Amino acid sequence: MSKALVAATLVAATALSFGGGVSAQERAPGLAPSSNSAEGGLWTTSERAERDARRSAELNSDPRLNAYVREVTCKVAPEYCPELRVYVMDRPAFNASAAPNGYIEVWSGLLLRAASEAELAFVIGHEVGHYAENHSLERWNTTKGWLTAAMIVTAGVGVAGAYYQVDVSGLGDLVYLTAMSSIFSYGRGQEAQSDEIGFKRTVAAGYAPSAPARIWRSLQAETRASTFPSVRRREAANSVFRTHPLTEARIDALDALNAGLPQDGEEGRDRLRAAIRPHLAGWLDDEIERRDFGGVLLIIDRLETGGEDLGVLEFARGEVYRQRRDDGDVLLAHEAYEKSSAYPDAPPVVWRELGDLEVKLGNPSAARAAYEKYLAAIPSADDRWIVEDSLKSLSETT
Amino acid sequence: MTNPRKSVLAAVAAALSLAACSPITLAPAGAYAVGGKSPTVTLDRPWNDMTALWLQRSKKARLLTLDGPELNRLYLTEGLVEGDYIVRPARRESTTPIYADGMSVTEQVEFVTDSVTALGYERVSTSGVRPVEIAGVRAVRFSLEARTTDGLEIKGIGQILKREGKVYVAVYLAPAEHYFEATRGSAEAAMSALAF
Repeated sequence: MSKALVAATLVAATALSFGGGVSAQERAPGLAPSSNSAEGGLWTTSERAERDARRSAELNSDPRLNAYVREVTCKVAPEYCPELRVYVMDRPAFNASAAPNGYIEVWSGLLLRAASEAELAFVIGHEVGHYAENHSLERWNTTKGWLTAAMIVTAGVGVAGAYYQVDVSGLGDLVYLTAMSSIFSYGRGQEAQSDEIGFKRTVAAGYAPSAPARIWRSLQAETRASTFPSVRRREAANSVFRTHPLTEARIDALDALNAGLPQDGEEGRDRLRAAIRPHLAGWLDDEIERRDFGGVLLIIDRLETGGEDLGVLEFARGEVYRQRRDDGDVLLAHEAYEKSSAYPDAPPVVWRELGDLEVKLGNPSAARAAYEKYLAAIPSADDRWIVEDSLKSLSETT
Repeated sequence: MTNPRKSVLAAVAAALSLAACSPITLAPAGAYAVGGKSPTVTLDRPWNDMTALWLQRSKKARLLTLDGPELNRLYLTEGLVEGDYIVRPARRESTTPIYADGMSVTEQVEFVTDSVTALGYERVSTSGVRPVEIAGVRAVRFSLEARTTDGLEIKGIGQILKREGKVYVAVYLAPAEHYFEATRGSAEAAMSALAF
């Protein structure tokens, strides 16, 4: 451990004891804090979060995808590459985070929304900025009061739960998440600094300098397209800890950094799409389940830009309309399913959905044809008896 | 998670509400009214009614358990109609699944599956969708699999019965290891004994 880190640790420990503030310094690669320091405490908390991530059902186990995201991470953070652990989580929200102990989460919601590898690289570079600048340590010193309150509440909830013999671990987790969110809710100054660091790392890695501002603009557009007024009122949607308040000023700052630079960096659109293609259908399902239909439709529009994966994407569009159930959505869903069915990557279940919609639209012969295609495509379908019931009903009524 | 202060206050409120009432009541063996009078299920042994502790409960749903909600849960609903939900949305906007008239059988199963996700389970999937006759009506029963956020494997059984324009839902969930099989009999007995 360097003398500087020892000194920083002592200062941090003193701050913890007496409530004073400390200013964090940029970390040198490969160093770990003392376990009895403020930063050591943050590492312990991060290690718990990392353990949770490793056993989570949402941990993506695709080795190719995880290797790909790690490769992008190492491109934008070569000096930290050996100490960073990258986990792809199947979670439907725009989010990535870098914990103080070098554990990085990249959520499927980010991978689905990034239009190119360059955009993904910028977001990861931004998170590496928080990591490199020890922002969580700075944040710790400004949120200790709330963390103390959280510990008291946890104890209170535990006592109440024990008294009534009720498992209140869920509430305890809520308080734990609250504590985590306090540490990782960075201030606007920290966000702006990480934007700049992310930008520089993105460009240094050879990526297009226009990508950083573009992904923030895309996130703004999605926020405005949200079905939910409460989301539209926010500055940035979908980040679980809302760690990235997006302002025009931040986007303007990225535009200013981009101005005058040669626009010859690479985007890496095809590489990103190839990496996420096996997961598109499942991730879109997860997004639709959140019922923010306006936002999902915008994501699908973006994913369709290159004219790829249209069977999967149009099916997802049909699913959005089917589940949204607004006026006219039956026809819109029907149109999307029909488009999907024309592509070889359409899921076979599109025929069952088309059959159901044809019944609703009063087209029995089209419904019958669609159901028969479904049964032919999946002879051993779990719901075969349901479709056969529908076919029987159609025979009885026509 | 949006606002740390609000979340801490919510946890405080939850803790206070725990301390302010006696939320768990006995559901003795025998007939248990899910709604005011109907429908009923017949319990083959005493259960604990912990509906009052279910923070996201809807007015038409009940939650019973034998050994605690982490070990076994039986959700039962009254007749759901257009606009009803099993899991109350966290905010006014509809972020949890809503029942709609005209849902196909497949959509009804999806409604239940998505509601289980809204309860906080992950990777919820169904299999073995099959017809069963209950209270003289052809109902649908299916197997559920899920994981908790801590990675615990969960198994379950879902049941949907549509009668006179209303849908009656029952969901049994328990850890796959030991508890699912250990209490499955009592849960299925209650589900099968739905009566009007």
